[in-house]
Amino acid sequence: MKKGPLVTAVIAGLAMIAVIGAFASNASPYVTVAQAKSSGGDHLHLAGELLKDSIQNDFKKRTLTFRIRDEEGQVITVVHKGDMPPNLADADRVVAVGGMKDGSFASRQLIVKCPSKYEEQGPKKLART
Amino acid sequence: MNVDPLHGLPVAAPWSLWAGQVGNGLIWGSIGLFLLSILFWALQKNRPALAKPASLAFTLGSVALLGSMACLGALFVNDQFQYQYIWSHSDTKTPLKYKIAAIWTAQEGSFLLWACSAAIFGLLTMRGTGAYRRWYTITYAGFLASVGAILAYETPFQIMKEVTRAGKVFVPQFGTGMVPSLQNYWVIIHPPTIFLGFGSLTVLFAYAVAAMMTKNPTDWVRQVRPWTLVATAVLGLGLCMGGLWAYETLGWGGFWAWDPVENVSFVPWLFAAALIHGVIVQVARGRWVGTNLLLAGLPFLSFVYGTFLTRSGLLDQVSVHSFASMDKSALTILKGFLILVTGGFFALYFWRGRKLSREFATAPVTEAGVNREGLYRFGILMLSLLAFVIAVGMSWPVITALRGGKGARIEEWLYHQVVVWFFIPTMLVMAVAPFVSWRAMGRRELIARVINVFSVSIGLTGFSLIALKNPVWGVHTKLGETIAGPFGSKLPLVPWMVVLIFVCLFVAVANVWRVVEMSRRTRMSSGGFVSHFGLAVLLGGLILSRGFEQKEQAGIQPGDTVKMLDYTVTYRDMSKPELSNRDNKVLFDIVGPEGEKFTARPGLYYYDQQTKDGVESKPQVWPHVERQLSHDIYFNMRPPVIEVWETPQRFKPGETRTIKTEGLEDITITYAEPTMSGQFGSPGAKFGAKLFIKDEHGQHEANPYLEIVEGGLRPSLTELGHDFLAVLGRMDAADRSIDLKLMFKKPIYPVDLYYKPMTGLVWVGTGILTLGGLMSAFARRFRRQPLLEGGLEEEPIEPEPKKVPHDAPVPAT
Repeated sequence: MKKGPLVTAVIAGLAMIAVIGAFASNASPYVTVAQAKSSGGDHLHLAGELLKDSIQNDFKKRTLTFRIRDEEGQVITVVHKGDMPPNLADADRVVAVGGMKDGSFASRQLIVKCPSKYEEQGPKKLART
Repeated sequence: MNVDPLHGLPVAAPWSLWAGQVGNGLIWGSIGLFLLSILFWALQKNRPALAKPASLAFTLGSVALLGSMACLGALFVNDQFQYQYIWSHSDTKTPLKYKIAAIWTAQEGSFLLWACSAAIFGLLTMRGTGAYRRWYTITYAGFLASVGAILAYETPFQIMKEVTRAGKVFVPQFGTGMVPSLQNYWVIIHPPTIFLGFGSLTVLFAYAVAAMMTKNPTDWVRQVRPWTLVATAVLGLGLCMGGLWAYETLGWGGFWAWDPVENVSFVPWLFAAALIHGVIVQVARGRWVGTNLLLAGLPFLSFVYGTFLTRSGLLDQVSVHSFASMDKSALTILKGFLILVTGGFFALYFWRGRKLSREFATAPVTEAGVNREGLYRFGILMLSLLAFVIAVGMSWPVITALRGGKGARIEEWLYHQVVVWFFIPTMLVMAVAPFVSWRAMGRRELIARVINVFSVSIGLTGFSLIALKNPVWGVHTKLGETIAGPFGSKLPLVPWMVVLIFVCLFVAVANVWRVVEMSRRTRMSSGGFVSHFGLAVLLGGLILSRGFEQKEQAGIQPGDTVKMLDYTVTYRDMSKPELSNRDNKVLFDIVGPEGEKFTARPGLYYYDQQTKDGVESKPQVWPHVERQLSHDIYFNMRPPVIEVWETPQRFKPGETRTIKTEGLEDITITYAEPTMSGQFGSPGAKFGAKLFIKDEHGQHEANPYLEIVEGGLRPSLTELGHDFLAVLGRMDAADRSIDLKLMFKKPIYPVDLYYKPMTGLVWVGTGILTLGGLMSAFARRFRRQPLLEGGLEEEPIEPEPKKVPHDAPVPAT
């Protein structure tokens, strides 16, 4: 007799299965350099230590090139289409979002991890000089 | 050599140390008072006289929290930089309004703000809770005591070790100041608003717990109803403010990015919105007793969960917000509280709530056809599913990481694809709902009632497209554009946008129609329809502004005139002579396609920041938003670029490099050999590099050098061709290589110009949505005499809903 709750449960269940399926097959994985090279895909999240000396910014073409070293120690060149995030120079870790293209990692988006600004500054400066 | 860092610093005034101790003491005191209140109420069952001191303890505890906030505020306003929290977030140069706002710019202060907001709502609601008061206060005080305990460890009243010596505390002359990117008027109003929203969620939760503990799951819905509306309206306003803040300052031209921090606020809002509708059904029909108990708990629980998720560092990799790590003990308390309330609440619900639901809910009146209850069920289902989906989405990195591997993350596009499946059905229900009554109606009857609105909406959709094609209103979108659709497909943009515009218009027209119809009879009960109208306007604005957005990027040098989209952009000047001025703007004259003129004034200034290597000058930029009736021109400028290479490049003798830059001359640099002139080692001596330069104007020689001056080496600024300057960095005597730095003669300003149609609707929609919510809250404010629901709902074609048999208040034992 009580069809309402049953229908509700079925709709909810199906919707959740569909969504979790969609998430599971489309979520963007975090990868290492080795994994990035072996797997295709355009939504890879490649995290690594930014090698600061390698930053080259051609902003008229809006292309940023730099290298990062992942936790396994492998180094790869990242070519980022877009602007240089203003805090890139402070960053020690970068997450590049994109996929492999012609031997380097083509990035669409950069997530920059800055060391927390005020936490570890060593001796504090307390007076104006 | 080592200068005493404390030398010459003033000793802290006694009052300031006292204020910190009082602030800290008040937090501990509030914990004690809340625990006392819990104890008294627990014992009150057999000793009724304890009710009075129990209430008093709760009130005093709440006031103590507010007092603690006042102490912190006083210390901020008076620059008491001996406190770590104040030193880190304020400075003497910080304007007063930001000194006050600095209270809540970081972890410690935001917990205090949460506690205070919840305390305010506790004080406001406590008197109206009637028979629920005992369990309501116990729950509420339990929460406040827990946040108090977190604050006791995560205290903002910590004096820095570095300024304490021999029992004396010295006051640093300045602090590090508020993060410049936060210094905007939104930081003053957004956090208090959204935290009031978060605080109000405790009311819903405590009511649900009290209803289950007292085994009276009926009366509470009337009492909680206005608070549900207030919570949703305030939280919704806070969310919208957050979006507008992001839009105005972050420079990526959007309102919402599905960032974990945004989702943490959005999920509770969705559950609270679902509760609003569930309560309506219970008040009118006596049904959904259990559902409402659950829905009242979920906003609070999802927020505590989200707080844990974002503060625990679990999402560190994913979020653009970086979180300072929380104190370990405080995090343990938060985790313990989360497990306790979630486990406790669900246990209570399954152990008692469901039984109460079976006992108290009235039997369903099974009628064939569409009726209001059915639509509410569907709407609540959609809202709850959406909330659940987003909660799963934001937890995905943690879920996948737990299964092993490095985890995975849900990106914005995937959220959009999933959410739209819930969005369109929800919108269709909101459009049909105003015309459906409690009494079931046949399909034909429903169509007859909705057909007018439907036709008008179709017509308006067509009209809106014509209007948007008009060059002045101009959507310059090409028909061929596509966006990513589900299952890897590509959807054509324009037809897809037509569907979205239609659903928004359908909701807007239907609800306005209904408001007008009803305005002849009664005024106040149209709040719900007004909210739905506002929501449609808001969502329509977001969809149009994003979907038909156009963007072009360019680099502009002083003197340049550049065409971007159909706009001509010319660099004019800086508004202030000194670049350290916070109010400095870079002026660009812009001429639109219709000859309309305006000046874009993006902000640019440089501030000093202490880093490991000393003080560095950092740029801060603000975008410019030119608001017009039909569209926004969003003009984002990034810090000017002066260096061609981020790092100096090494040249060996004979090495050649070509620099190609769009819009500028190509230039080829060849390093020939090192040169030297003057007396080696004495002032005036120059170490140079002989360069051959080739550009479009031919070939020439350049000779950048380092000159020995008193105190070191001074590099020359040497012109290379028309557009560049060279600076010699370092010379290697061994292999005769040089480091060369190449700079632009004139700085290049990288700018983005966005054309965003109908963005004004976002503002208008936000206002209408909030207004509607507050109208409803006012209309449904709890009176001792419950409102006659039927009188405000529908024409009397339906019988007055039967009074729920168990509605009589259960006397407090």
